[in-house]
Formats: sequence, C-alpha cells, structure tokens
Amino acid sequence: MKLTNIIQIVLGVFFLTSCKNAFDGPTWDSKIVAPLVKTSLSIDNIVRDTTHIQINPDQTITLVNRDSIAGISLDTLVALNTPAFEQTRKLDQIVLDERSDTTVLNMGQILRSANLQAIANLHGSYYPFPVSLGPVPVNNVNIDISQFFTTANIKTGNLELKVINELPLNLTNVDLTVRNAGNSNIIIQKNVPSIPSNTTYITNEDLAGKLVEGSLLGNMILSANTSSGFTIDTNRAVTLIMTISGVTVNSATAIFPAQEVVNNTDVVILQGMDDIRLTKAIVKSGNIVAEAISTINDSLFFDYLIPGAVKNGIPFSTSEAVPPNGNNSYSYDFSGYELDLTGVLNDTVNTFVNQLVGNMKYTGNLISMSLNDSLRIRIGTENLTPSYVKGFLGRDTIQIGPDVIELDLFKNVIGGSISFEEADIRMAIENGMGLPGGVVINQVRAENTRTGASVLLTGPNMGNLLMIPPAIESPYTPGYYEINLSTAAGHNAEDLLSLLPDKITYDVMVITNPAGYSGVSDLNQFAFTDKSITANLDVSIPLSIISNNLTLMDTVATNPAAIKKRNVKSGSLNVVANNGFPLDASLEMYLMDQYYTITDSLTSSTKVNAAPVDGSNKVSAKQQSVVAFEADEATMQNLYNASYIAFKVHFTTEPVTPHLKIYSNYSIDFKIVGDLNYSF
Amino acid sequence: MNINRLNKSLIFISVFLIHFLTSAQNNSLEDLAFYSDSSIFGNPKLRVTLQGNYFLNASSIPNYFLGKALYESAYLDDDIKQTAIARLKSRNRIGLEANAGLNVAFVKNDIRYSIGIGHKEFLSMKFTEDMFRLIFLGNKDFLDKTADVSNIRIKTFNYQYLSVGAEKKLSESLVAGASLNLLRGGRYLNFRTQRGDLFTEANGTYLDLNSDLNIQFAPNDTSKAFESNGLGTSLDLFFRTVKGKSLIEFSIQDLGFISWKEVKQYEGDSTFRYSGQEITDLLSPNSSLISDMSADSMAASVGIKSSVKNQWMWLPARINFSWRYSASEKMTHQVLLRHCFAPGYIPRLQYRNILALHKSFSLVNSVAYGGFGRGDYELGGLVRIQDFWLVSANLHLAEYVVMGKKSSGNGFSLGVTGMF
Repeated sequence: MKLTNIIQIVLGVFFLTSCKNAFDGPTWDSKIVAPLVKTSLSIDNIVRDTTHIQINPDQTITLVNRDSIAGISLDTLVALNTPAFEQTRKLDQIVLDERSDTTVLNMGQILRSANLQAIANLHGSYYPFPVSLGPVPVNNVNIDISQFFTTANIKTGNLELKVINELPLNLTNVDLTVRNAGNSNIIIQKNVPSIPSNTTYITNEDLAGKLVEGSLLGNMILSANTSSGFTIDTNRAVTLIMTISGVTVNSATAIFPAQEVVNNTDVVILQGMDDIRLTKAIVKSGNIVAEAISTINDSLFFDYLIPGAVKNGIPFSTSEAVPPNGNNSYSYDFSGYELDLTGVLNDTVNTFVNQLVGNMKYTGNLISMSLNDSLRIRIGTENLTPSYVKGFLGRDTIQIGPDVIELDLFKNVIGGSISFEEADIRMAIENGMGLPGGVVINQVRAENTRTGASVLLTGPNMGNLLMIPPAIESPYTPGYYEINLSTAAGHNAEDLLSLLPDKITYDVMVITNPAGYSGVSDLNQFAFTDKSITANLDVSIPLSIISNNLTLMDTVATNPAAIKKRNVKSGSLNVVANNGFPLDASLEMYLMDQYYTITDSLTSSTKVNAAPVDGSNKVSAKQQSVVAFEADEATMQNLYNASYIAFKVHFTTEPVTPHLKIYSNYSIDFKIVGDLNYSF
Repeated sequence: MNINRLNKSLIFISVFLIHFLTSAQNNSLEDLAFYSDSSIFGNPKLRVTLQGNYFLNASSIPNYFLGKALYESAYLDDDIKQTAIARLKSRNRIGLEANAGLNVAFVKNDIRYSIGIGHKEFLSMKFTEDMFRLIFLGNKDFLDKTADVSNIRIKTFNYQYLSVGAEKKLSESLVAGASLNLLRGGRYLNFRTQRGDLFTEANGTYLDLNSDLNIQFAPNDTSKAFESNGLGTSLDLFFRTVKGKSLIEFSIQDLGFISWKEVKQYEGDSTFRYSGQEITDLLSPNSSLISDMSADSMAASVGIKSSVKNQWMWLPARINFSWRYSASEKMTHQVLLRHCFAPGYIPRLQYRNILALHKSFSLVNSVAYGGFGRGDYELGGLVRIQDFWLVSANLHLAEYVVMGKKSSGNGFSLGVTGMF
C-alpha cells in the first residue's frame, strides 16, 4: 500500500536528520518545522501492481487481474519414444576372390616317370617309332594356393580343372586326383579316357560343402601313345590349371577381398503412442545413440541411415568403424531433423525406416572369418523431444486442479465493505495447437480467509463441455474461446468478488480431440512445442464503488538498531493533503515490538477529507486537509524502538451513494511536514 | 558528504567550534616580544620559548552563554538561550584565535636566528540575530515570517606551521626582523551570504531561501603527518625602535595564503525553495532513497550548484602598532593598536600598564576596545626566575567571572621563556 510506503520514507528522513553531532558539546532543543517528503499519488501509485490497472477510453479505471490456471504444451501430449532397436547381424556371406594355380608336367618328367630315360636323353631327335606308355603315375604334385587362404569351408564355389595337352602324344585313361595336403580329403577325382595331343580338357567340380586347404597335392596316372614317330622335345608339357571361382565360404582363413557383409533395412515404430498417429515430427532436441560390437577379426565399417530424417535437405546418415573384435559407442545430435513417420511405403504412421550397411575393406592380411561372425549394433534415441508434430494427436483428458489462486487485489483489506457496481469473471482459453479441444469447469470457489466466507460460482457454463476451436497452421492463428462467467451471463460473479476474496479455488478439465479419431483428415492436426493450450482466469472490476470504512492494513519492518541517534524528542508529523479522490481517508499507525505486540499508536482526530464531486459525480476540485499525528516523548521513544509499524487506513466514499467512478486523473498530493522538537 | 554531515557542519559553526577548546594552549607573540627584549634580559645567546594563547570574543553573546556552551558542554535551556538573545543586536560578531608554539632563537654574527613550530586555530563570524534564533530556537517562531540571514560571514580554519626567522639590529635604535612560515592546512570553512532571507510557509510546507549563498569547505581534518588539505606560506615582519624612554614597534603577521585542495563549494544566487524530498518511485521506498539524500542531492534539488576545486585563501593578516613608554623604573605604559583583516573584526585599541612590584614580578593591567568584541579588561603578570626564566600570563577572565551575563570575551595567554 503506497501510503504506508510514504510514511516509511518520512520516518526514514525523520530518523536520518535525527543524527546528532559527531562531537561532544552542548545540547539544546529547537522547534523545527520543515517539509520532509512530498509526493503525488494517483491510482497508478496506489495499486501496487500497475498491471492490474486498465484505463478505459473514458478515463475510468478497471482493476484487472489475470491468473494462469493451465498451460498444456506439446510435451504434455506427445513424447517421441522409440524402442531401442538392436540388430545383431551375422555375416551374410564371405566371398573369396577367384584364384588359379598352374602345374606343368613336361615330357621329360613323364618319360622319366615311365622309366624311359633313354628316350628322354634323345631330346631334339626324331623318334621314328610309335610309342605306347603307361600307365605312368605322377604323384604328389604340389598345388599351393595358401597365399590366398589356408583353409576354407566352402559354402559355394567351383573348381575348374583345365588340362592342356601340348605333348606329341595322346593321353589316355588319365586318372586325376586333387586332395588336401593336410587331411588328404579328396577335392576332385576324375578319370579322363582320352586327351588327344594338342587338345585341352576342361572339367568343373562343385566345391560346396568341401573343406579346401591352401596346400593341395595332385596325383595323376596317365597312359600315352602315338601311332607314328615324333620329335623328342622334353620341354613340351601337359599343363594343369586349377581355378577356384565363385567362392563363398562358411568360414575361412584367408585374405578377404573388400566386401559388404551386412545390409539390412528395417522400420522403427514409436512406442507408447496410444491413439496418437503421427505422420511427421521435427526434432527439437535429442540424440541418436549407437553401440556397435564386432566379432570379426578385421575392422568393420558400417553406415547407419534414416532416409526419412532430413535436415537441410540431407538425410541422416553416419559412417563409423568398429575395431577388430571390438566395440564402440556413438552419439549423434538429432535436433532439427524432420522425421517422416509414414514408413517405407508412406502408408502408415508413427514409423520410420532405417538402414544398416556393414563393409569390410581389403587389407591384404590373412584372417579367419566365418559366417558365425557378427556385427551387433544397438541403436536408440535419447531424450527425443519434438518441436513440431503432425498427425492425429490423440484424445486425452487433462485434469487441472483442484488448485488455488492467491488473489492479491484485496489482500490488505481487513475490514469494512466495498460494493462494486459491476464485476466480471471470465475464463479465456487460447488453443495454440491444431486440434479441437474441450473444457469443463467443474468448480470455481472464492474464499476470504480473513472472514472465512466462501462462495461457489454457479451458472450455465459450469460443468458443461465447452468446445475450443483448433489453431490454424497457415497462417498461424490460435484458436480462442472465452467462457463468460459474469453476472450478465447468468453467473454469480459479483457475489464472489464482493467477498473481497484472497483465494480462488478452481477445478477444470481439458479434453483434446473429444470426438476421437474420425479419419485421415485428422492426420492434419499439428502442434508446436512453443504453442500451448492456455487457460487464464480473468477478473475485471470497474472502479465504480461504494466504500464504507474499507480498512486496509499493512505492516512494515523497521530497524531500530540502525537508528543510532535519536534527536527528535517529540513533535508531530503533519500530513498536508490535497485530496483529488472522492474518498475520506483516516490513518492510524500502530507501533509493535519484535513479537508484534502493539506498544503504542499514532492517531489523529482529523481525517483527509474527500474531494467534492459535481452533479455527474466527478471530482470538481481537490480538497486540502491537514492531519497531525502527535508524538510525545514516550511515543517517540516507542517509535524509535518499534520493530514493526502497522498502518491502518480507512476509506469511505463521499457521498456514500451512488457508486462513484474512479478516474485515472484523480490524484492526492501529500506533503508531510515535521513539526519537531529537535535536540542538537 | 551526506545530509548529516552538512547539518553537522552548520551546527558546528553555530556552536562556535566547541572542540577548539581542546587545543586552547596558545601564545600572544606581541606580548612575549614586549617582555623578552634585551631591555630586560640583555641579549642572550640562546632563547627558548614555549607559548600559547586562547582568546574568544564576541560583540554580543555573553560569557555566560559561551561558558555553558563551550566550557561546560551544558544543556542550553531557554534561560541560557535568552541571556544571549537579550544581548543580541541585529548584527553580531564573534571570533576566536588560538595558538600554541615552540620557538628557539640563537645569536650568531649579531643576527638572531629563530626556528619554530606551532599550531593555529582561527574563527571569525558575522551573523544576524535571526540566524542565532533559527539555530538555537528553531524556525517554528518564523512560521509565515521571514528570517534575516543576510551578510553572514563565517571563516574558520586551522593550520600548523614551521617558521624560520632572523632579527638584526640595523642601527643603534632600529631593530628589524622577519620570519617565513610554511603552513600545513587542516580544516577549512568559508561561508558567506550578502543577501539572505529565509521564509517559512505557515504550515511548514516549504522553506524559501533568497540568498547569494557561497560555501566552501575542506571537510576532513588531517591526522597523518604528511597529509594536508592544503599548503601555504606566510611572512611575519617587525620593526622596533627605541628613542629615549619610548619603544615603538610595528609588525605585520600572517601575510600569506593557503592553497586548499579539493574544496567543496556550494554556490547560488537565487531564491531556493525546499519543499521536501520528492518521492518519485513509490514502488521502491527502500533505503537507497535515504542514503541518496546527500548534501549534493539536496542542494541540487533546490538549485544550488556544487563543485570541487582548489581554492586559494588569503590569511587574515594582522597589523600591530605598539608604543611603550617607561615612565619610571616601576611604571611603564603601553598603547597597542591592532587590526586583523577578518570578518567581524574591528580595529582594537588597548592601553596596558605595567607596574613592577618587585624586581622579579610585574603586574600588568590593560583595557581594550575592539577586535571581535567590545570593551575588555585583562590582568596579567610577569615572573622572573633566577635570571634565566621568565613566566608571563595574561588573563581575560574578570568579566567572565564577575559579570558573565553582561559581558563578552574571555581568554588567556601563557608563556615560558628560557634565556641562556
């Protein structure tokens, strides 16, 4: 209350000028009359919070008070919870490069194996006779492909064996056997009846299911003949070319080529959405987190993509490396991404697609790997919050209250009565979301805790579902609905406010999408994180009043310890008031000790008189009054010692009837003059 | 300086600088000069003098009031105040001089050199009866009236000095001397109005001061040896001639200045209205409002300009003329004429009679008119001890004791001189 503030200041100045001289010396008393403070109070100054004042075009004043009772934000309705989706992917396939090995058996070797060294010694000579050899064994010819792999459990693959006979002899009844050097398992065994001179024989062998070693042994038994003589050229040979191709392995110890080992596309469905059907969301904050574990003995590189999450036109993707037989954790800022939640075929809701691709790179190192090796990746979201969502936002019921508003408009009123010519209570609801809503006001109760009286608001708008229109997205326009709870709308608002309540209890229910999901058109609903559904309880009271000894009281703390000098022995504070309000005012001050026990009082037999009003009940001129508050020496000491001072002001409109409007240009000028017995 | 300190300053002046009393040990140089010349002691090789004096005089404020206020620190009730008011004229004067010092002089090559240190206090003041009433009775008696606060002059300061001097016999009958003093300024206040009316509105809702106000002060005393509020210098000169039984002496003292540093000044020439502290922000009636109420803010609120700058001050120079006539071995007459260029000081004429009652004791009676007061009577004595020591005392107390409510002025001087 502003009047009390002035008096505080007066006392401050009063005590300030009370400070005694710094030196010891004579003392004496003087009767000093001097202005202490001056001020002018308008309604702006009297009402503590000027936001409570609304000046109307005709300069009348309306006291307004707005209290927020609800704020329903996007967070309240929607959360983007995704399941932590984990992919453990064994290797789809392990591919080995095509490899070949060539073994050459020249005529010299063959002749020596047939104990025909003598013929072999005729190298370069023409041998004029037909020859028939065999069978001639050529055993344990090493076929070494261990530089490509040492063992391979072949899943799929082909072994091509090519025999090129460049001898002048026809080969007949050729038995070919290739076996692992280690376990002697036969990889291929063939009998070829005839391979004429200067021809090539080719045969293919399916290697599926075979364990092939990098070190092989070839055995061949062959017979040869010719029907005529021939030139002995020991360098002419039979060449065996063994080619392994199209090999995928179940496991192998090999030098693997670069290859894609994992490629998986999947969908993620938002969790806990109930009946919410989102088609789009823009992520306000949150992260994509990943943990990758690899059992592969080589570095693995993976790409994670969410094709439907786009930021600045670029889909979300990331490439990472997992160390051999190791693991790693990753976190990616996902804020700002626009997330398509319509799935792979754009025909669903709450779903987004993601893809995981794992690759190996060629290293030239010999490693062991099998199809049982795996890449395990756990991917999830962390603290994902949307700034915008689109889709059906669900039907929800949000209970607000019962809760209490502390109303400070009348909190210093301790007595008397006041009658308002009008009073208005409204509930203003602003729907910032693009979905229809409804509100039910279950209860509004006003209470004056000083008197214990309370009144329940009644009227046609109580207890009924009242529909709130949705916001429009483009151009953005919030939906607005005002529930009129005034007397004019059939409610007992004046009864509530005449109580001079300091508490208002409310119980309100807000329902989103009261009609539920009705079809695809509902998928156009939207919500922004910074746009909410708000409900405010507005009280407005035009200041047209009849006040009968309306008594306001406020208590201020003083600091007696700070008053070192107490030079004012006695005296009076003369309030010279030029009152421009049509209100009589009288003031009492109560001095209290630290326990709030009243020790003394300052009162005056006179009052500040109301300003006169004209025929239209407007103040015609200011009224001057002088109100003196006498303080003898004892009272002055009590004033010095007071820990608290309670100020009680009584207001009565003059004339008493009818209701008097308070205008914004009304003011009261105060000068507070000290008439003091001052001790120097 | 906040409002308290301004109040204190004004009150300080108004109670006539009470704490001057605490340093009231001073001397009267011309008296010592009179008694310590070679006619009594010859021409000693070494002379050491410890001296002090204190004189307070007023044109109207009675000793009774001054004694209660200054020497007893009493509560000044209405009776005490009325004894002063009864004697007040429309214009009044009061002044105070207090000195204390040590001086050592020695003779070399027929020149007497001297060196000395000391402390001086000075106050002179002119004021109106209304001003006295405002201070001691308050302004309630002036409701709807105008108080005359015109032609107010208050000048007060103190300083310490270091002096070096020389005295030489220029001829058989003429001696001249001079000393140069270096001054360390302490407290300083200069208050002046020529025009001044203070009107108190009937309900006390405003005070109108119509004045050409000028206040300058260096507010803080200095307590550290090498700190000061100002530095200055002054020159003392004297000439003495002896002709037959007459000794004539002429001297000029305190011919110099002090340059005060960072002097706070308030000045204005207008009608200043004070109608209370304006409260503009009622939402924040916190302590800052109170703490912000400084002399500067209050001065600004009524239109008085304030500034801080260095300030020269001429010392109130004094001119002394003395004619002494030795009528006989036992009887000497002396006439002294003195003037000090200070506010409230009028030329002072003094007759002094020295009667040698014994070879070691002389009685000194004097009457005077002028100075800061009016008519005064002083009684003094001179004691010579073992040819080496001379003790002189001069008391201005008879009026204070005998007719305190009807007289003004009191003081004393005391000197001890050793001649070797």
